[in-house]
Amino acid sequence: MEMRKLRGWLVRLFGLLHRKQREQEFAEELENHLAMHIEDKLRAGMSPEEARRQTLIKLGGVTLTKELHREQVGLPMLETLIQDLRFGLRMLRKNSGFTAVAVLTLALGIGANTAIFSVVNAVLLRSLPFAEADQLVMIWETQPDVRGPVGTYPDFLDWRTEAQSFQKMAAFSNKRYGKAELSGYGETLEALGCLVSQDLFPLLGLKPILGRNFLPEEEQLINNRVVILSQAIWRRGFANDPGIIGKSIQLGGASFTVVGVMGEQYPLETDFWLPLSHLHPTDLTSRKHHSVQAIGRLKPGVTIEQARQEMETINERLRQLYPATNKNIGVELTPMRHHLAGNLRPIVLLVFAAFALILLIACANVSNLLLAQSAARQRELAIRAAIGAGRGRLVRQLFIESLLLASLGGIAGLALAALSLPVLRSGLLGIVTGKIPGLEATGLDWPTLAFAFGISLLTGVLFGALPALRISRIDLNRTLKEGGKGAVGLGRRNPSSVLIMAEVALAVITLVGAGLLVRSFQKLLQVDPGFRADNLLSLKIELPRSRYQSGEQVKNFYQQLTTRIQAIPGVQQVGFIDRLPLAPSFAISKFVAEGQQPEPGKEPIAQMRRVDHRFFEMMGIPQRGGRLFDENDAIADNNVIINETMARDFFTNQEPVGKRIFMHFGSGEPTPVQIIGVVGDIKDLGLDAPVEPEIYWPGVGGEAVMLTRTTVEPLSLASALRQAIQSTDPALPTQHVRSVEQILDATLASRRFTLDLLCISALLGLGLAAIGIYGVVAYSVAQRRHEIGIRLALGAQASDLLKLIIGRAIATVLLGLALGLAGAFALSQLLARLTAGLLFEIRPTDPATFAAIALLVVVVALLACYLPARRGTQVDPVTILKHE
Amino acid sequence: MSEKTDVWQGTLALMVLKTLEALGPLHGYGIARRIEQISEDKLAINYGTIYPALVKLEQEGYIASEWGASDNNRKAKFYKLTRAGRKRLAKETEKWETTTAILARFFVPPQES
Repeated sequence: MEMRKLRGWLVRLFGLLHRKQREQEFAEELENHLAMHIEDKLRAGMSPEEARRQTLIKLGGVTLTKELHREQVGLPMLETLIQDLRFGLRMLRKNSGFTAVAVLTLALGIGANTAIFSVVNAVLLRSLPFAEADQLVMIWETQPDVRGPVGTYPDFLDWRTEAQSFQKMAAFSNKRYGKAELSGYGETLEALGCLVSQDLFPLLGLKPILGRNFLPEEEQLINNRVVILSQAIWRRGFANDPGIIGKSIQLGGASFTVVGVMGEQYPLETDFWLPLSHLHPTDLTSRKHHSVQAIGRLKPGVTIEQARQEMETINERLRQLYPATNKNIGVELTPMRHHLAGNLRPIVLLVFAAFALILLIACANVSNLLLAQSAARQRELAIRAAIGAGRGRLVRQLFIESLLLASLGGIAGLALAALSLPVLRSGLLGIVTGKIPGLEATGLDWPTLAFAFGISLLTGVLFGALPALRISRIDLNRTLKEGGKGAVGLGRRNPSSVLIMAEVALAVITLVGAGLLVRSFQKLLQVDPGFRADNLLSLKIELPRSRYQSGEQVKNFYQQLTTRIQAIPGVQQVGFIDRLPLAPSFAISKFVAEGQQPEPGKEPIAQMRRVDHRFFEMMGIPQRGGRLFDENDAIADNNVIINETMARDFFTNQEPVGKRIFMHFGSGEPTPVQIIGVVGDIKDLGLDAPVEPEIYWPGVGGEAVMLTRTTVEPLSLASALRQAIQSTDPALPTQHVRSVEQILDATLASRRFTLDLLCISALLGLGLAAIGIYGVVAYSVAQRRHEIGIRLALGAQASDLLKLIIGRAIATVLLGLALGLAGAFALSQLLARLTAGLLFEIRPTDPATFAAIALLVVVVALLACYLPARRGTQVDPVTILKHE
Repeated sequence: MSEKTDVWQGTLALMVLKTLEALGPLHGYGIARRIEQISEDKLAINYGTIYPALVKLEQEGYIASEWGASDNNRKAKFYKLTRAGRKRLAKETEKWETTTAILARFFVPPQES
């Protein structure tokens, strides 16, 4: 039965195709029906007229019968829909200017949102390449002064045995083999290593593509010279050799046996993995050194909140058991997904929010255009209503037109998104720290297409609703009588002006957001790094421990290198530091300044950097007291130089030079060191971070950054520098040479990129609002041509009319502006949170920014009113009145 | 479509099928007249309503149609039962009989002895 019904519907669907033919056929059938009936009646002795009359009565009317038949043959609902669509398309074609503006507006809104959604989807929504990735959480310890997702190994072991919320808990550390030399077939490669606990891969649900995972016993100190290679390094260094398993390779000067090759799903950039037991021996036993990161897989049904509570209980016990080390330690859990999205998460969310506002503005704009247009169409619609079209039908017609517009906008938007995605993607790839799964694959995938379709529909409904509602309430008689001159202007309580107000308000909010970031960026560019960054080249040097075992060998290398570098024409000076400023140092330490007694466990922390004796002079860092290092200073002398901040904060109103500081290195007694000098502050943690206390030690080790001050364009010396290194030690891997200005720029890259996107969104918002204002004013002037003509004819001055028109429009804009400013003010807390870390020395309510934005909006709005208003009033009244 | 016409259409469809079973291939006018005659003019139908019913039955494959000549040599469309139509009629007849049998027991209670 049901099959038969389905068949019926299908036949009806196809019935749409040969409708004409079917109708002709039926007309014939009906004609013969009537003829036979009439013949029967005639035979019964009726007069021809009476026979015909009765036959038609019996039939129930020819037209009605044909109508019933037609309805059964085809699908009347679908037919009217197609009719409406056709009509809608015709209307859009007829008003091609209107259509173009509307479609372009929508395309901008939809395109921008689609592009950014595909990133949101890739970074924040799409499932991670691990089994049940939502159960994965990062667990780490918080310390009063140190940020970063790390904990100590002994604490991790306690967590692993005690915590009940997790199916499994694993740990890894990038600390010891952050970079190592790895002997491939043929050449030595520089590789990133990671130490992992044996259960990390099973926890992530990853299996080696070749060989095996680590064994539990390999996590112990014995038998642990085993390594798992990444697929990438297996390809790069070992030519995909399937026989690699069981072979021995050299790694950082020691030999390891390859036991497995891991596929590419591992989320962090890593070339090889070693058992966690390769941690530094003190890291394995001390609760002081935070060197591992922990990952847990929650048991099914356990929430991250429950797990956090349990972990806090455990942490509380550890605090009481080990007060010396754990007293100020807290514990924190974050979903793996957030952790992997890293610095991209806040940026992407912020930009997404901004573009969502732009889409709303676009909707308001198109809605306004439609309102203006529907006012012009009131007569047409009133006539259609008068000849029998129901209100429902009219509203449906308008909605169909809106949806058509939205679909066109959606298609154009998709094209726009496809064009802008590569730019967006490469921009994002340029600013991410580490590797974010799925980011490279960002594209117009199904979820993104579905999103584009969804928002197109939604926008269609959004901007179509207001005009459709208005139409459903038009007064037939009045409209027909007035000749269809419905007026759209900028009067109060006019839906157009409400929309304009909303547009301006939304645009102001995005402008304020972008403005705050621009101001932050300006301030940041004015920050003095504390050293001369111009004409400065940076080059990393890593001396392999295998060949540079003694301090003497290292020292010799640097001496020879320095001589060679200084011989290069164009080189002024050369200096070394173990880690470039603008990023945290390798080592930090707690310290106590002489004469101070901080509460145990709450000692202040200082950055520590090692520099050679030419460093300060070469960098242009001013000497503020005492002396600088000379060639004879050695690290073992325990003579240090501190920065100005440290001198000011810890030796207030005292002479720091000659005083001692007690360094809390290990678990033993503090080491006293002597201050021999004070130097100016440099921005050691980055331009946007406050300067921290810094302790400089003399002499650099095997890992250092060579800084070269040049008298010529620095990058032109890059190859000469590399050559000097090659001549000093031909076996050293070649390194990338960058100018410090490039590095400074790179530290601002993520800020710059966010700023660019936000500025694009803000300018789009402002542009759309301006177009909206322009459109409404132009339309209202055109509608009132007649009135303007009469006023001019009666002696009104064009300039007065101009003032009148602009005045009304500007009143609306000012209201929107006030709303927007109030909104931005009210949202300032949210804005501050959204732009977390992006605001620099600017409060989210910065009055200067607010004022500048207000001025900008008023100027743009004035222009958008003035142009159409002037055109509308510079007319010859005679022409107008004659024309009417 | 209201429920009332739906029911009416269903009943009309059965009458059409039954008529075609009894008389063989027949044109629309013939079917309408026959239904009226059988109901002894108690059922006054608009002849026009027979056509949507015929279209629907044909769409669902219970009847088929072809052009032919009527008794008085007029060109007319003749409808005839298909095999599916016969089957449906048999099923409906059975259902009708069961339903009426049950209802009959309610309206004519068996004599109590």
